[in-house]
Amino acid sequence: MDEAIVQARRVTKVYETGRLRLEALKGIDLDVRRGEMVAVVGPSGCGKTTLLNCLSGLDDVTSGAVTLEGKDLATLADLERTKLRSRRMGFVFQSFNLLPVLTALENVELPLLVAGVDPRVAKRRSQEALERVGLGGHVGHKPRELSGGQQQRVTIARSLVNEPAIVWADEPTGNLDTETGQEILDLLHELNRKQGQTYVIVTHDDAIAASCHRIVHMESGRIRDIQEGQGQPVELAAFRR
Amino acid sequence: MLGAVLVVLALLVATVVGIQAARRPILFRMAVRTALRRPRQTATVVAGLMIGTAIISAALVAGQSSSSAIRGAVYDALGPVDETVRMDGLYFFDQELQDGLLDDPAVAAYFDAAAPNILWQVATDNPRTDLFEPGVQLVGFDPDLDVGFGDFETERGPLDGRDLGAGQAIATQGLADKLDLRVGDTVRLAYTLPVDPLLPELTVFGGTLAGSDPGSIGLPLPPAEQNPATDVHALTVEPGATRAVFVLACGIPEQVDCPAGTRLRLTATDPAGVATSIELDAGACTDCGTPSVFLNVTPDGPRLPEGAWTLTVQGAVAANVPYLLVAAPLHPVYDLEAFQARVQELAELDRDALDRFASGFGAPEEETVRIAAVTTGGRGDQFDFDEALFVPLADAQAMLERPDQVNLIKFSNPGGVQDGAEGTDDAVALLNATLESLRAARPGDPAAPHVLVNPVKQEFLELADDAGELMTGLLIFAGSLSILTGLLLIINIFTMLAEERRAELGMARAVGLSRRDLVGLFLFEGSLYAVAAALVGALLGMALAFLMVVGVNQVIATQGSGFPPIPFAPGPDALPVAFSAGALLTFATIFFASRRQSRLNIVRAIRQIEEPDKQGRPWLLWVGAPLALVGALLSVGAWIAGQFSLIVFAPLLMALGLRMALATRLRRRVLDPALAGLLAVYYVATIFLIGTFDNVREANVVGPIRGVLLTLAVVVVLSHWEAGPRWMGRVLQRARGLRAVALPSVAYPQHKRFRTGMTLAMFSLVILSIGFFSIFGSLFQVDPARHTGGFDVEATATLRVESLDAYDRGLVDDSLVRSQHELLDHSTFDLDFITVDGERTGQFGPPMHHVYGIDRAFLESQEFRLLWTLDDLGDQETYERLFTEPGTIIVSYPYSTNEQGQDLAHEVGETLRMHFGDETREYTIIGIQEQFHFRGVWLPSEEVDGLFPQADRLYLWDLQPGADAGAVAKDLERTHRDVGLDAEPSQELVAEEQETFNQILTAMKLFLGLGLVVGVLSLGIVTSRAVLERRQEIGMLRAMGFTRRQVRRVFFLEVTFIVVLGALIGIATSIIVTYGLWFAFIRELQYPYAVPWSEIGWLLAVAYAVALVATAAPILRAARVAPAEALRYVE
Repeated sequence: MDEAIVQARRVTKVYETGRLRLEALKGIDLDVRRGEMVAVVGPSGCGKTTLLNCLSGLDDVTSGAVTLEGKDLATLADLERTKLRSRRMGFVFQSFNLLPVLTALENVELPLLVAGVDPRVAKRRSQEALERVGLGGHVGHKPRELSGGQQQRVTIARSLVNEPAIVWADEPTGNLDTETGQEILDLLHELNRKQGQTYVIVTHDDAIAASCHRIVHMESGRIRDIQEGQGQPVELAAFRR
Repeated sequence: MLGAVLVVLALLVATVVGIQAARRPILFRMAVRTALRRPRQTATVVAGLMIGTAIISAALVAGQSSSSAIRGAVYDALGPVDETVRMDGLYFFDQELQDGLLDDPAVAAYFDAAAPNILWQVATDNPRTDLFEPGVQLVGFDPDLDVGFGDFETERGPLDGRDLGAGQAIATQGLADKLDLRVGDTVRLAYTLPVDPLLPELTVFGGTLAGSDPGSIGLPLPPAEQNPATDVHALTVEPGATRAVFVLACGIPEQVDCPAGTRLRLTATDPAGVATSIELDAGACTDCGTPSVFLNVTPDGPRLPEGAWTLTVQGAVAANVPYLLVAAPLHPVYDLEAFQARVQELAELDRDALDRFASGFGAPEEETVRIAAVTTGGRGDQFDFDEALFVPLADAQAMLERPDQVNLIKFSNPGGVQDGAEGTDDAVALLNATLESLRAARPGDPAAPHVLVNPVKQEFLELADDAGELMTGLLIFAGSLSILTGLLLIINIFTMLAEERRAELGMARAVGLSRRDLVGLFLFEGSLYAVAAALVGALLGMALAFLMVVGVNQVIATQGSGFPPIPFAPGPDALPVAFSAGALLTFATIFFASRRQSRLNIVRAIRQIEEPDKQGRPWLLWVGAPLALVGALLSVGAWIAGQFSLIVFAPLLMALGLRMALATRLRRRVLDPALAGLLAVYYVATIFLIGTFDNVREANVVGPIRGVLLTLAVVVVLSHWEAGPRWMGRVLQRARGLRAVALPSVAYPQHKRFRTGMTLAMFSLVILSIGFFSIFGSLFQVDPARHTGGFDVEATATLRVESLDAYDRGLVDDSLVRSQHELLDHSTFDLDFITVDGERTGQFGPPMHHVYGIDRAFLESQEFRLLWTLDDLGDQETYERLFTEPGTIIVSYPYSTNEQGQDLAHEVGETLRMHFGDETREYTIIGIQEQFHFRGVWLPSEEVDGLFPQADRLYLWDLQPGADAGAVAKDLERTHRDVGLDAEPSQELVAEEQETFNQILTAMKLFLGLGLVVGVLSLGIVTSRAVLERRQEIGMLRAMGFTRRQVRRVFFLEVTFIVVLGALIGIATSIIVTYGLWFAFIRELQYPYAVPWSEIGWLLAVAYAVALVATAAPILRAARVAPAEALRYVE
């Protein structure tokens, strides 16, 4: 449990658009331990999503270093980072970001296909993933034919299907009503417990944050403090191969 | 006229839009700001919208340039000459008429210049270089009067020709090049004397010469009073005869043998007592079946003395011998009808001998001239003769034995070379009035009524304008699919713009804008785009036309055809007309697209939820059902009546009606592909059933339209087919490199059905049009021998001689020649001379008719295949029928076409008429030949000879296999140089004609390539939009682990999917359509159907390559999208 899967050291991120210069992250130091669920909270514009993007390698940092499973992301080429994402990470977003033209099954298949898994195997595993999130009966539906909660479940299935080490979730319940949001949260906790993945969740929702193991409070691009949450970290040894 | 209407309409629309903008300024402001908000996107939209305008503009300017080229050629050829006065056939007329015309004070006052000319064909050779040129124009000019038409330009400076001495000539540079002439060279001219269309006024005398002892009578015969065998006949010669031919035959009509030792004398004494006689010695009168004595009385002046003549026949014969004396004063007959009547009269007699005089055969005359100068331009270019010799008029008259006669008077109107033509109407009126009074003063002159004013420059300029309009029409017709493609692109662009702004529009509706306001908003924005696009498009079209002109000029220069380069000459109306047409088209399309887009659901629009598949409103049932019923009834009626147009369009009407009616019950995603599928199947079926209709005349226009409908129907079906792309995606997934990208690649086009359908339609229509021309062109690439009847060399002679053999220098190896034939060949530029089934025939090639006369010997050598024969007789039987059944005729293929150029408009069994003034001759067409090299109608020689005693000769040679036709043609020219033989290898000529046809097709395909530009541009725009639209999704894919290369592959595969599918649809429909046309029309020509796969392959490769180039930029941009930024992206 003490092993840090992600380490951020003095991470800064500056956006420059013409004359505008916005310092979104101002020297972030953070360790995310394997198997824990970390919530990142803070007011709008405090840099939560930016932090998530920088830690996951979706975005470059302006200065500082981010290591993921011991690899310094800054030293990796775009292709290596992409491969790392495809093999070790999963993503859940507020707006689901499913491909509207693909069915639920096809959406879930994609990460496996990207990783080079045989299409037949990918199909079987995707079906299993959808069943795990309770959508076994909706494999042929397109996103527009699913409710918001169902769409987010598909997203979660997609993020987990390739058994990532870490899942990044940006406001996973932001577009959902309270009840559905809770269902999704329960699902994430359940998956965390059963599969031992690490979760970094950006949220506005105090309840969600509280249910995590640790809560990172951000303010104006800085970590104000880190609190322990109510969640209980999983025993990682059970998931080690 | 149409141009003016378009401009007025455009102004009207602009006014209405302006008024609306003033009434709803907020909407107009919104439209302007939207247009200006994203300049790059606006530029892309304008680029897409301008294509249609560019095509219209290019076609218009190309047409105007070609018109200008022809006008330029007319100005070059005629120079200051605006009108000519002459007779058809360039017969000679008295100089008195010329003097009367030129001396008329009104004429002298009006024209800048007027001068008589003699134009005559001669053959030439240069003894110094031993080079010869068979077809040279001899121009006799009046040194003093011709000065008014400018100087001869020479290397030594201008020359007015007044210093030209007798026996001297000025040669054109073209002739100098051919004969390697130098100033001072003597050139030998060979020519035949001009003849008038003479026909005899026949008087036949008979009698019997009393027998005596011929042995005691020698030549000359003793005077009549001492000779018992003397008969005297009186003959009255009517005014106007030019000369007389007297034919005396002994033994006729009883066919008794002419006793040996017979001697004959015929004496003709004119009213003044001047006698001309001829005697025949013994022995010559052994065959009494043919005329024995010919006496040709040619007067010193232009006319035979009129009045009482005496004809005396004297003989020295052993026994009483009957004789026949035919007196034939020859009268010029310029009136065709009278000419025909006389010919009939003549045909009743044995007239072989008379024909020899009447038809003008004679031994070639010879003369020499010394080259005084070589002209490089100026007056030397007049009438555009490449090879010409200018000699003083008096010399020409002396050479041609036509003292005081000319065959042309030319006039130059006030003003310059170009604006002079504007005075043509006044000039013609003045000349006609003067000629009328001259005719009245010369009642006995048979030529005077037929000397006519010819507004030559005006006529050619009108032809130039017609040709320009034809070119414009042709290009617009050829480019119509490209224009249609451009319109589809406009719809596509506006649909994409509307989709992109759905939320914004939904908000606008939510805050109170009505649907009408939304349409207005789009229209204002669209009008801004339309104006910009029409302006840029019109200019771009001009640039395209310029490139086309440059391209054509390069071809002209490469071919060395001698045609002058085409000037780039946009007319003053080109820009406003193209602008108006383009703006109106764009505006109209935007209007309909806007109406479609205004029907959005506010909540769905704001929340960006896709519109569901809508069901139709109830009123559609009441409109659709009757439409479907009418369509169904018309369809049934069309099949019963065999009406091809209705067979194509009525089911379409039925399908549209059904769509409206059933839309209330069924979803469109089911209804549309079902109806389109049924239509597609139906159209494919009609292609194979068309051969069963009798009336397929309209099929060559409606046929391609059916191709377009078929293409669109297939596109609708395929763009609704969900399982197909998925299946394809699964198949592609098996390739390791495509594993992750296959599904999104095929799923996106399938998801964006309308957009994909439009893009597919655009691409497939473009491929259809290019593929159509490629396949269609390849169908006509046939063995040239099929068009030459198996003959290898064809020739005409400058000089009319009765037999070529008499002028053979023996330079051709006879073993190379299998057979040689002589055909009569009467040609006329009068397109109304022949009609079939009451209408003009379609002539592709020079606008003229030929009437060929053939004999039976020709039938045995020729291989002109007949495509259709009356009563299904064999080819040989049908040709034989020409000789056994009067009133029958065989025609070449062009005579089966009508004036609009539609093939097979005429068939065997129809009536062909030749029009001689008020008289008409009717023939039944008994055979239609496959060939269109010798375009004309075919009759027995005897008939052609009777109709056209002045007919030219066409010589044909069939060579032994392996003989070099080009070399033999050259040898034939050399061996018959005395008669100015101009020989060509026939099959090479056909091959050149085919090459020209191919070049036209290539030019057409290049022009259609503009459509490809539209299709490709459309793909570029669609891809560009797709990249923008899918930025977040791209971010997601990248987050998920898609590499940049995989993102690129998704888009490349998507483009490939559309290009390949569009190309396959286009190629398939072009094969089906061309097969249908072949099946209906060309199959009977016995041309095989073949698809030029390599050309099609190249076409597809080029289409794909340019599509990749066009989409490369947005695709690369997509791959460069930073995932975090893309995920954050909100437009």
